[in-house]
Amino acid sequence: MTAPRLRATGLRLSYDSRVVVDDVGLEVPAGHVLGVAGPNGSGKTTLLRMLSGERTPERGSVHLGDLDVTRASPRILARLLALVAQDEGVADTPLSAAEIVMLGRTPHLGPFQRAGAEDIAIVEDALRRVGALGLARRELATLSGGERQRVLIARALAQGAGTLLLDEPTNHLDIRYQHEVLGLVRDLAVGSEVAAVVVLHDLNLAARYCDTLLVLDGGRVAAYGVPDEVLVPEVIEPVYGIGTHRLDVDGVPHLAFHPAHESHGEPHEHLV
Amino acid sequence: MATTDAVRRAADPAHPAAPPVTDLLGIGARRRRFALWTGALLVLLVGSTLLGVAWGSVRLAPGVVAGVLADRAGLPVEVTWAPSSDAIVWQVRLPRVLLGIAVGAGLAVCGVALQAMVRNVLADPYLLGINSGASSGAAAAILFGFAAGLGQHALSVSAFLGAMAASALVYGIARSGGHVTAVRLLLAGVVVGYALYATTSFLIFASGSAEGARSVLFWLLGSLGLAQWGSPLVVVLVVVGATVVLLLLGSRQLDLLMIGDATARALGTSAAAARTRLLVLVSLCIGVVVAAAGSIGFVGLVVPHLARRAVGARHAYVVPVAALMGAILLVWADIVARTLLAPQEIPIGIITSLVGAPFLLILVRRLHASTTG
Repeated sequence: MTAPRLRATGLRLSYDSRVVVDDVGLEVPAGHVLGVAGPNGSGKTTLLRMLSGERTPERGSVHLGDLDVTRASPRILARLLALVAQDEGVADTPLSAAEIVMLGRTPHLGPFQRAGAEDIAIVEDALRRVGALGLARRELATLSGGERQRVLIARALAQGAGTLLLDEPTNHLDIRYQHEVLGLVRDLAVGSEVAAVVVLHDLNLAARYCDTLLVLDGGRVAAYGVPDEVLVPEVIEPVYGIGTHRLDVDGVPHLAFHPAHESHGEPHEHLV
Repeated sequence: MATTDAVRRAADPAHPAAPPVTDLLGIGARRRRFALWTGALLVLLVGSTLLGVAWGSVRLAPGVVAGVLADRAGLPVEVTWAPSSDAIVWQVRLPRVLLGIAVGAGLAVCGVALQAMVRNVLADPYLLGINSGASSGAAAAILFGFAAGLGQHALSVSAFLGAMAASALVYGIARSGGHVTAVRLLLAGVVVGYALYATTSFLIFASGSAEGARSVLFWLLGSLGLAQWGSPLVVVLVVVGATVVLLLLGSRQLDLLMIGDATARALGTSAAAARTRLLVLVSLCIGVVVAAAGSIGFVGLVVPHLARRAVGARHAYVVPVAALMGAILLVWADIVARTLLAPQEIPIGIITSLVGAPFLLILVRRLHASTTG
């Protein structure tokens, strides 16, 4: 058993004295994909912000190998950890896909250093690995949602980081692209020994593409384990407040939901 | 250097070592396009400068302009022109055109920086209230003798102080309650801008001086007419030049800010710190520019868009191209301002607004189309 690439213990953070994440821990070895799920406001994005070093936890620690994330300089951290965030304003800027991916080289370049032939080769390789080399000259605004996510993942690859954090990468994508993007993350994890953490809303996608699932509820860990153990009605029904049935197809758990089910209290508003 | 390479290889063992054979990424193509635009704009700027010096209420032959400039530069040329031509070229028009170049370039690159840092293509120095602060300062100096002890610099210094105070206020409001976000900065700018606009109007009203009101109006509309050789012109040239260079050196940070705070952070740049640095730089540049030339609208809004259309969004390309475009635009706006109703001079802000307003309309329509379609 090798040491995990990314390890967090006892994380806690509050906004304006409201505790948003409390006592959350996780471990992601290289080559593994961890899915983070939970209702809206359960602390998924906040957890990701602590993992990425953007927010410093009040309690607990985040380590990348031996490196303490809360103490690392952003530049050093950016060589080890890549983030595909939700707030990416790339859609309305006329940067080309290649220029977006080239920004992934920023942590490797001096402040006033120009990108060289080696950086260009790395960017080409990253685009090729996500199957988007043909899109390199296109402006991001002209790409479909799925193509855009592939380009952003290529930027994370160009960063050369061994750990990848993705905040709801399947948002606004149609079903085919949802599978394409997560399949890509899965392939990168397995093929390139990347440790990936993916925030996901869709539990069925999580079941298919993640090795481990962490379900948050009100900022606390409701369940943490392999999808087969986590995705059971006993766990999911109280967290989401919705009736749940599980069907296994080809060994992959699938959940079907029944909003009218009333034996587990009021359904959450956003799921009605 | 060797360690950096080692880190790179360790971080990405799969990258190929060979340099690319062809321009798969289109990076070379964009670079060539940038070089082409820069070359063309430089030629245009030199031509515009000569015409800007030659044309005016008295029109001089380009040969005379070239002759005077060569003579003043210490070259051995035969003097065939009247002393009055020398005075017009050297004392009146050249400082004015140089001020126009600096002001145009300064407004344009500040617009570029602000649009990136608030991540909004409608941002410009005026939207953030910096200009209103300068105007209030100028009004206080003209109407009530604020900073009168500074003599001929009173107007400049108080306008500059007003600009700095306004941006400090905007920044303070945007900062209260945590992170400086783009939206908060914009809203704070609008609030402070309105408040200071009201202040200026009140100062004019309270002074009861018709003569003073005219002077303030002149200031509010902008003019290059105050240009002359001396330390104020040197200050503008140096500050604008330094701003362009610093923005160019920090162009990758501008790229990252434009994309988003979380991404910038994840790529090793603190967005909040970068925004603070930029706001100080922009305030300084705009304060100096407005102090020298008054309030000239739309350049900071329009030019960044033209530059991005020409060379794409990379700030390493946008900043120099916007500087050149802004400079050329202002030289021509001033030529029109001086010659259209000669010998009377139209405030240059009227010209830039007349050109800029329809442009803004087109821009808004296009933004609307792209968000609804």
